[in-house]
Parts: sequence; C-alpha cells; structure tokens
Amino acid sequence: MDDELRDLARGMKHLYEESKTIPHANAPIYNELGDLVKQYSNKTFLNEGGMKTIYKVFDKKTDRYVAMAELHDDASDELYEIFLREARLTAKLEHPNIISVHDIGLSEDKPFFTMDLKVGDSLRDILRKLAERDEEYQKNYPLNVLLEIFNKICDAMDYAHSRGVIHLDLKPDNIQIGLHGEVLVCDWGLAKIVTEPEFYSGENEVKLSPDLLYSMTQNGELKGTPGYMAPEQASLDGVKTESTDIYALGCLLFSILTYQSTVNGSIEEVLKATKLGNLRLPSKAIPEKFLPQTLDHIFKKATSLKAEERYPSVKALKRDISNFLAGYSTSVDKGYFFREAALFFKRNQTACLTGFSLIFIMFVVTLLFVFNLNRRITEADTAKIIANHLSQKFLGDQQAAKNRYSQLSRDFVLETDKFLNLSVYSKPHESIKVALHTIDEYLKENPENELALDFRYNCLLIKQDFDEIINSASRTSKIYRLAKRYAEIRGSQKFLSEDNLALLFKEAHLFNVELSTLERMLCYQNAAQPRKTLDGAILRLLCIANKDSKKDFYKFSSKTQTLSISSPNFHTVSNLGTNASNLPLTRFLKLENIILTGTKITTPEQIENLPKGIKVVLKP
Amino acid sequence: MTERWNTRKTLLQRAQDKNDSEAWNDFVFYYRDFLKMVLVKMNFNATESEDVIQEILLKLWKALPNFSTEGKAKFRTWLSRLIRNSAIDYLRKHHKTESTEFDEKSFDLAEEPDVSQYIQDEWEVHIVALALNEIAPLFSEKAMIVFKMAMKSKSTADIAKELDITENSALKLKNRVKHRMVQEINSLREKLEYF
Repeated sequence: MDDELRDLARGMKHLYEESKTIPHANAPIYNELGDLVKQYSNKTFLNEGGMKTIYKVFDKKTDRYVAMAELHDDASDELYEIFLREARLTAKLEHPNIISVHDIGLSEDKPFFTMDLKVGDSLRDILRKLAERDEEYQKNYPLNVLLEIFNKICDAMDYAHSRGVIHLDLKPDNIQIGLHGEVLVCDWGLAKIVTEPEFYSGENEVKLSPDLLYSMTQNGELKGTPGYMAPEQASLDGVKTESTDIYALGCLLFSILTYQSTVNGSIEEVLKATKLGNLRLPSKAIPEKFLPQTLDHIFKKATSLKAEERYPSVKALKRDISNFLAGYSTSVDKGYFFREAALFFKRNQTACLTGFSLIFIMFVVTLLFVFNLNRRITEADTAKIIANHLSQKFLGDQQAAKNRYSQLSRDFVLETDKFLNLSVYSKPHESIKVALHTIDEYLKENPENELALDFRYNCLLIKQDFDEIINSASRTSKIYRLAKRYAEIRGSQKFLSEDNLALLFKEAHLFNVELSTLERMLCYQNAAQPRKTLDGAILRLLCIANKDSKKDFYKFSSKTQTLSISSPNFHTVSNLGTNASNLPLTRFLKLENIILTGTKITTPEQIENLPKGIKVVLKP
Repeated sequence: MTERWNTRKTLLQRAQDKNDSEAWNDFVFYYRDFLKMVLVKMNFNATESEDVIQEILLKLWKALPNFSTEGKAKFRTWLSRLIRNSAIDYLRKHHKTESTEFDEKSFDLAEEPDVSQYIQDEWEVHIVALALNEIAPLFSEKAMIVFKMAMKSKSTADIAKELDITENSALKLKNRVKHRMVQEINSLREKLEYF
C-alpha cells in the first residue's frame, strides 16, 4: 500500500466515523426499529363495548395488524385501573383458546392494550345466522362442530380456572370463532381471581395474586349478562366461584343447541327466572330438532340452582360433551344398561352387525346340520328295512329280473329307433350320428343284442357306410351281402349314383330292407348332396310305393317340372309303410304339375298327402 | 433479515479456529501491511519490522482462540497494546534503549495511551485505504476523481468547473461513491474488527 493512497485515505478518515452511523447496513428491520418513534398507525374503528372501544391498528414493530383496546373518550380516570387490570389479567392467561394480549401501554396518558386481531365471527353472529337458517352457516356449523367449539371454550375455562381466574361474563358475544375453527374466549373485563389455595400449586407457574390485581367485581355491583348469569351472580350477596362459569357454560350450551337464550323476556323476568331456576330444557325449546336427552341432562346438571349440584369442574362438563360426541355414556346417564348397550352398538355398528351376522349364520348352519343328521338316521333305518326285504325277495326275483332285463333291452332299442324316427327326416345326418353313438354305447355293454345290431346295420346302411357293415356283420347275413354288392357298384364314391340308388331300391326287398329305410337313405343322400338330382331313385321309390313293377309308368320332366303317371295302380305319393315319414316323395322334386293318365284317381283329393299348390291334371 | 446478519461468522471468529487456515491467511493478508506500516512509523527498519511482525502474528495466532470480547471495539484496543508491547520487547531484547533510537518525528513508546491512539488512528486510515482500493474498480475514473477532489474539501462548484461537468452530476457522482465507500468501510470493519 503506497503512501499516496494512505494520504488520500487519511484525508477521508472521517468516513470511518461515518460508517459507524450505519452499523448494520444489511439489517433493514434493525434500522427501522431504531428509527421508530410511533409504534401504531392506521387506526380504524372496529367495535365498541361496555367500557372500551376496539380499533384495528398497524403495529409497525411487528409489521402486522393488531386490535387495540382503549377506554371510551369520556371514560373517567377511575376506569383506568379496571381497564389495565383486564389487560394484565388476560396477558397472564396464555392459552390457544384465550385471546392474547401483546402490549399494554399509555398513549398520551390514556391506557391502551393491544391483542390478537379477531378475524371471523363471534359465536353470537353464528348462532343468529343459524337461527335465520342461513344455508352457508348450517353447512359449516352442524351440531357436532358447535359442540367441538364448546369443548374448546371448556378447555380455555379449564385453564383459566387452573390459574385461579374466573371469567364471569361468558356469553356468545365474547366467543370469537376464526375462519379456520380457532376459538377465542375474549373480554375478560369482569374476570375475577379466586383465592382458594389449591389453585396455587407448582413453583414455576405464574401465580396471580389478588394483591397484584385489584378485584373490582367484588364491590357489590351486579355484573354479568342476564340469561348467562348464574343465580348467585344475579343476587348481590352471591359468592362467585368456578361454578358460576360452569353455569354460564351450561347456558352457552343451551344457546349452541337451540340458537336461543335460556330465558326470554325483560331483564327483571330473566333475573327472576334465573333465581328460581325456571329454565327450559333445550329439547323443549326447539322440539323440531329432536335433541338427544343426554344433552338435556348435561344442560340441567350444569345449570343446577345450587352450585354444589353442578359439575364439580369444567373438565367434568367437557368430559361429558366429549363422551357424548364419541358415543360413550356420560355421567348423567350412567346406570342404564340398555342405553349403554345402545351406545356401544352405535359406536361399533359395523363390528356389531358383523358379529350378529356370524352368530346367526352359525346358528342356522348348526340347525341344518342337526336336521340333516336326523334325516340320515331315519333314511339309514329305512334303507336297512328295505335291504332286508329285498334280499329276501332277491332270489325269487332273479329269474323275473332276467326276463325283465331282456324286455328292457328291447324297449331301449325300440325307443332309440323311435327317437331316430322323430328327427331323421328333417335332420338325417345329426340324427344318424346320435343314434349310432347311442347304440354303440349300448352295444359295448350288450354286444350280443341282435335287435341292437340290426338297428346299427340299418343306420349304417342309411349312411351308405357299406365298409363298416362288411367289417362287422356276419358273412352269411343278408345285410352283409347287400353291403358287399353295393360297395362294389359304388366304387370309390361316397354315395351311390342316382341310377344305382334306384337299383338298390329295386332290389331292396330281396335283402329284407324296409321301405322306410329307403326313404331315409334318400333323405340322407339328398341332404349330403343337395345339388345332385336323385329323380330316378325317387321315381323308383314311387313305383315301389304304388306296388308297380314297371318304372315306365312314372316320368318326370325337370324342364316343365311335370310328373306324368300312367299306372292304373297309382294311389299314393307318400305311403311307404310303418316308420316312414308319410310326407310326399314329391318333396324331393321341383314339381309344379302332375298329369295323371288312366289312373283310378278321379279327384286330386284322392291322392294322400299331396301338397297344395301342385296342379293336378286328370286324363282318362 | 439477511443471511449474513444471522449466520455468517466474521473473519475474526473464523480465525479463532486453528484449523481454518484459510481464515488465518486472510487475516494475515489484511493485517500484515498495517503492522508493517505501523512499525516503519516506529523507525524499525525492514528486517527488524519483519521480525517484530512475525512475533506479533505468532502471539496473535496463539491468543486469538482464547480471545473473547463483549464490546465491538475491544479487539482494536487489545491489538494496539499487543503491537506496542511487542515493539518494546524487541527493543529490549536487542539492547536498544527506548529513547535513543527514536528521532524527534517518532513518538515515545513509553506513553501508552498515545501509542495506542496512534495505532488506532492508523488502523482507521488502513481500513479507509483498503476500502478505497476495493471500490475504485467499481466506478468510472471521473467519478473517483470527483470523489477524491470532494474529499480534499473542494467545493462542488469548483469540481464541476474544473472537470467541465454540471454541478448536479458532480454532486451525484460524489454521493454515489461516498455511499459505497461508507458501505465498504462498514463491511471491512465487520469482517476485521468484530467478533
């Protein structure tokens, strides 16, 4: 550092001194506090009470708005002490539900104190809105919320009593409810310090002694608010204790439940009613709300005429409210078993219902089990008797059973055949498949049953499954020979050709094949090859049905859709004997006209089962 | 409230920690020049003053961790006493009598209040010089010239005339630099004087 710089610095050494005047350049709050002359500004009127006026002021030191209480301008000097006493007393009470005093002081020789700026409504505003049935308030303040608020008031009072302070002016106007549910007990202007020694315990507690704070409410004047005042407060010589606050809490409870004051009328009437203890019950005051009886009891106990009959402490009162809210029994309804049980049920509805259901289910299950057991025993007895009876009968019946069995087998096959009959004409493939399956199952058990075997071969023939017949039928049987012959004729095709089928029909009687079977074959093949014409076979079958040996009598032109018949034997288009469908064979032809020449038929009606819509021409 | 106000340790507080070598180096950086200057004023030659500075720094290093103070200005007083005592010790050790070696310009080391006052005055000059050095790069040359002229008690009117600027802007420049100077001095003091 050179001398020149130093000389220069020496020349401005006074700056060093100057810098001391801004000791904390980066501490604006510090500097601001140092500069502050007037702490409170922006004073605006908020409210007016019995002896004081409340303003909203800006506290420059803490940089926020607070409420400032001052005595009325015309207040006499005697009130100064009372006013300051309230401030000091409130300041000693540090509780979340008791309004906090921030500052006490004199402004131009007039006392003032500042406290929390109350945001929100007073309980009185809320109750009034509720009485007016304001929907917003009804939504925000249902009974249980109001009772929670009441509980917080109880907390505050419990605390105050523990510090030896009684409020003596509890009423809805003095309870402030914040926007977020904060509850503040305000206006401790009438509060009094009680002197019982048991309230002074613990060394570190701040003790309030009556010497410190001059008790102003003991001076024989009537103080309090009628309707919330205890009888002892309403008379001049009454002794005021914690019970007095408990009475007021009872009245507060009444207001919370009914949105009304305990007694209505002039101050004299109210005082008289208070002294006589003529208080309405909450449920009577507002019958439409169906208030639970428990709350009536709590109210009655809290506002008993005699202080010793009231709740012994705020805690006891609060405990009852809490118990009521939580669904437990309260001190006022102890001893009623059913009430206790009902409350228990209410508290534990789900668990109780589940329990009951389980017990019921178990009961029913047990009952069913016992019934079942009984039935089984009876059944077993019966079965024994029957078994004895049967075993005796058994030997004698053996032969009869055998006969019966063969009869049953026969019946079974016939039934299967009947079943097949029902559907084979409309759904030949499916019916044959089912019938074959059924009979195969049966043959597994009774491989020798001839009736069943015949039935099977019949089905196979309808299917034209000649190979299977050749494989399983006896070589000497007619059906074997039929299958052998036509398997060769058919060759590698699945079905016989039109002419070969006609040939089979012609020869059928040689193999003892029934006409109904032939019709079934026709149905089956027609269903399998709906586009192929089977006219020749149909005409052959028609020929057989009319017992004609000559096929030439029957001609069909698919071009003109005309069937020409010239047989003198002709009498039917449908009669193919037992088990046949009795439907006209013409259903397989695209037929519009029938020309009959030289038949015995004289009117179209003489042709059995001829479908309508077909033109019949009779020629001699 | 600024972070600095709340939590930041001053250089002296940090230097109390023997493990914080960085703080100690800073401390030496800020104090060595000052010590040298003071010792030169006491007529110590370069070698001698270097020895005394070593002595003083060693003592400081040992004493700092245990140093505690209630007041803000105590450290300066304490330091000036330390400098004086170290100087006297050195002279005694090297058989120099206190009076013979000092010429008429220098002062009497035996007069403690005077010496302390002198050292404290020099410290203040030192701080101002440090501050001047720190802020010089932040302003235009012209601004610095205006400021220096103003500090030499030249009237604003004269300055304006001499530099051919308006009186108003001369005043503005001067105040701006001065404001910064005061801030700088303040922060240096916070750093170097306060615990």
